[in-house]
Amino acid sequence: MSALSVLGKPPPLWSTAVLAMLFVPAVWAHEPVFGAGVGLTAAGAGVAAGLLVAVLARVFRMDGWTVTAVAVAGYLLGSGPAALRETTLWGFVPTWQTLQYAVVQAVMSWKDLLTLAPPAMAYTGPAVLPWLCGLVCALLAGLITLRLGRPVLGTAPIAVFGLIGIAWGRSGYDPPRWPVLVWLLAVFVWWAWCSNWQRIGAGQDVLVGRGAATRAETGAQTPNHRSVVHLGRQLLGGVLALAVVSAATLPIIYGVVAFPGRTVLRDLIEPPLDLHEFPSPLSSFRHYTTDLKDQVIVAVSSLPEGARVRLAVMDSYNGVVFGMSNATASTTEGSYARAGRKLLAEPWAGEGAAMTATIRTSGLTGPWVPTLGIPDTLEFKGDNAVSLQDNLYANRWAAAALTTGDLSGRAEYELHAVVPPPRTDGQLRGLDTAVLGRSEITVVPEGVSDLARSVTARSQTQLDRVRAVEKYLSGRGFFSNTDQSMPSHRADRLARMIDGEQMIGDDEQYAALMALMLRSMNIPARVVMGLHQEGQDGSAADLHGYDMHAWVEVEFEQVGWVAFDPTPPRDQVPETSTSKPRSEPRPQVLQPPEPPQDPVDLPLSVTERSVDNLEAEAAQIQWRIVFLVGGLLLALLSPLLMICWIKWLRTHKRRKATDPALAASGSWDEVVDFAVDAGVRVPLNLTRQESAWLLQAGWDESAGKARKWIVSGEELPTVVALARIADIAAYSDQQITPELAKSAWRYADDLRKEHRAGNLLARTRRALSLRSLRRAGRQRRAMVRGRP
Amino acid sequence: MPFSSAEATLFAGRFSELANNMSIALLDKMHPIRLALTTLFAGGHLLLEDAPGTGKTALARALAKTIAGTHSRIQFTPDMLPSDITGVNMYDQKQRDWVFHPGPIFAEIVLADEINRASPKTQSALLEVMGEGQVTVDGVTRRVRQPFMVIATQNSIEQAGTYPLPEAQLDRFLMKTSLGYPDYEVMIDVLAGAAAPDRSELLHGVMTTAEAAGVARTVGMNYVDRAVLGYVAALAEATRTDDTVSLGVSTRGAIGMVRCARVWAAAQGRGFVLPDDVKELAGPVWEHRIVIDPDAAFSGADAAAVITRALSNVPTPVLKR
Repeated sequence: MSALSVLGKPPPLWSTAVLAMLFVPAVWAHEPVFGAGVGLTAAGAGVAAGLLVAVLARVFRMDGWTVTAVAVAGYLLGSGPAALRETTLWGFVPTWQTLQYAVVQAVMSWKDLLTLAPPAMAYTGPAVLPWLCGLVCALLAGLITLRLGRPVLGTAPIAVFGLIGIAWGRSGYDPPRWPVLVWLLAVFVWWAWCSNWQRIGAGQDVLVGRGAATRAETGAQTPNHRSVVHLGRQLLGGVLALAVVSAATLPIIYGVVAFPGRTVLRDLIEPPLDLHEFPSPLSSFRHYTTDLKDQVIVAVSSLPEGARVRLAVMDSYNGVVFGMSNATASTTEGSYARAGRKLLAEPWAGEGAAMTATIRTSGLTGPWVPTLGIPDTLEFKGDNAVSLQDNLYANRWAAAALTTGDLSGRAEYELHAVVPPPRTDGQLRGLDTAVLGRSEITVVPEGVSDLARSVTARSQTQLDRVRAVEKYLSGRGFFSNTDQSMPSHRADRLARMIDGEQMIGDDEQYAALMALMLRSMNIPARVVMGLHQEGQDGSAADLHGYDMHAWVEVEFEQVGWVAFDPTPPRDQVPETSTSKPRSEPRPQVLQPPEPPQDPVDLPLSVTERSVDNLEAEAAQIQWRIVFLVGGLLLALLSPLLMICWIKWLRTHKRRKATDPALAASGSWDEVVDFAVDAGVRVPLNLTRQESAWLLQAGWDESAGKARKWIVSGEELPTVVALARIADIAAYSDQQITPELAKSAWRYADDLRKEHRAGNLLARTRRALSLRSLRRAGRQRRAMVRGRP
Repeated sequence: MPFSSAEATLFAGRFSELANNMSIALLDKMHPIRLALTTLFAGGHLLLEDAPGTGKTALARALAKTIAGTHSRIQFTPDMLPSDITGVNMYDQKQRDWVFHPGPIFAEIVLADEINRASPKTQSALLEVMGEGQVTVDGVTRRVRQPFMVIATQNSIEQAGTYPLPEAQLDRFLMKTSLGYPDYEVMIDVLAGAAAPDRSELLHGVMTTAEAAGVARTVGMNYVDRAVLGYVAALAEATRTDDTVSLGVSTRGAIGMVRCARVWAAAQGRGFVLPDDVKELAGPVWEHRIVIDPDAAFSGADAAAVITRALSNVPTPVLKR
């Protein structure tokens, strides 16, 4: 028999210390990614807590539920000092926030630790991973070793803990390898000792050599065979085994493979693309149209007539900038997904002319890759082609692309695309706009919706409305990209633009305003930024900063997105009279009444907004956490609530039985179940009388006082009298009156009240005890079995 | 006419009177006395298995005295013939006719002492009377008296030269019990009263035989719920399926149980039978009917254990209807 398969006597309690020693290298593996001892503290505390729970479980012989409960309680209470010190009072008293973090981070920390940049000590939360993991692994190791008596299996959680530490560790970090060797050695010694101990414990000491011979001759049963001879052989065998194992593992550890550094999970995962990381391209619109006015930004080898180069598509507005909404679970369509070469997942279904163009860009900021029409394939050229190509993301919904590779403003690539034909108003007039799907307009500037309503008051169709807005803006507005018109499309900027005597702005403001106006009427609209120029004829074209435009696209059913230009012609400049008063009081110019109205203003307000936003988000998250924790609690409590409910239902059914005989015998069943839940063993084969006397005997001791009832000349305790009534109800041909049933229930209630003594814990245990329910199940099964 | 609970109370009173009366003759033997009376009212026969000198005859005499009936005793021996029990036709010279001389069986209470000493032929003759309640001699059938009860005894010690009753015949006894030796204190009381050679002479008739027969008829109508009947059936089934048993409780055994339980319940003033009654009577009514598998018997199994097992395995009925 293999010694390892012996499910033997669990090792002694002090072997917890050995387990703790074996955990040391595994704990150490969690440190590098955190730094400053944070990982060490969390992992060490977790291991200590887990082992402590395991020891308690063994000493107090806890059952599975209790161990789980203790472990969960330990986890929640200990997570403050061990892993979430920032959230605690005085470094150890857990707060509400600590518990929130403990619950949420039990799930999130696995992802968080991988995706944030080490050292992770700077963040609150990820340390929950080593703490939780250490607790669970140590608890498992402890339970398997100390209670199941499987020390070999018990070392597995230690290894798992270490491996998790390595896998979630820092990339590019090459730790010393000797601890692994030492650990393996220690593990082997520990296994050897354990199996030997268990063999002796099981009386299966292996007898060899002289000891065996003596035993065979004398037939002695004395345990003195653990002689020096044996020890020597075992030692020799152990050393040999170690030598063999080392010979096998050393090359792997030290490198026939000689792996370069370590590959950790961090290297394999990539953080999801967060579009909020990138500044909105619209905010650099003024930069392109003024600073880079005459610079060639995009050179296209062949630009079809009417085609527009698209730089970015923006559909969300937070009161500060138009940006891209991140994909949510409900709208996977609008997400930027890694594309490779092929941007379109399936061939373009709509009509359009295929085209190929080589595009060169320079001076662009941000990750945006200019495209044309519906881009099909896109292939980078040049030195950094690989990195650009690898990090190319495409958004089919927006028909736009971006790359997180090193763009540095210039790139060259070949683009295959389909350019849909332009739509005439005739084609669009009968069509309805699509249903507004994504809407991330969180702030609508004052007056926008009123303006939209008044402008479109007389429009009949959706197209009319869109055209009305477009015409209103381009007709009534004035174009300016000088000091008269501030760059920015913040909510206050747009509100002032509407309120002002003259509407002044450039593409940035007009496109944003139109999109917001349309969206306020639930027309799906988005802002597109890109380049186009007049007089395109399909030949090569150099597009300058001057050709940068922003326009609005509206989605029509069947047709898709159609472009509209709300920007007034560039020669429609504002009347100078408005600029006159501005120039008169010179000193005032230096300190305009408006606070800094240049881009300087932007970051300031962004922070303001984002603080508000964060608060709003925080509130949202708080609620989410409350719901999550509440739901979790409810889920945890639901079995208990279920038990209470079933019991209540049972009592109700018995008490309200229409047949008085059933109600009367139910009162007795109620008393029995009450006693059973309180821990009295009432065997199924006892009759009511026998059970009653049994209960009476038990209760006499505890309660001492018992009223007596005179039933047919006999003096009986209440329980027995109640059993009598139930017996009459069950077995006699007498008619039970409802009054008798009622009084039986009164007795039963009195009995329960009388014997409800005990503290809150005892009461709770009784209320939640499954004994009576299990007994009912046994009874049903026994009745089925017992009845041939 | 069903047996009402008022009648049950009345019956219980009479029953206690009888039992108390009998216990004047048999000190501190209330349980066997009640069992014997139950057997009487259930219309069955009692088998006593006891050592000699434990009061078997006293019980029979006391019972006979109490119901003001006749009592006879047959001491069984190996050379006994059936006619020694039933009686014979003898030619009367004066009357010039055959005259029937009734045997000892023509009494209300018949004590068949050491029944296992008689030859099987004689045993059978007795058992036939027990079963049929009638005697046929030379083609003439005569009914025995009512109530009629045989109290047979078996000596459990001496087994040499005996003919143990076969299982089929044991089944005809409604109950088997034993009196056993009295306690120390009771023994002293017994010895103190030893001056009177027969204590049953002190008894008076509490009930007439006619009344006893009438009561036996009404008490047999005591109510038994189907749940309790089901319990009896389940218990009987459980004895049959027990691993150590080669022959379990027969249908006759189950019927006997219900008969006894009716009386037993009424004797406690109850107009209905409880599972408790069945439990109390399971030993006396069924133990002698169970035949233990020889292999199991060799390893120490006995009928009492089978019944205990059945009682602990079969749940008591709890639900009505």
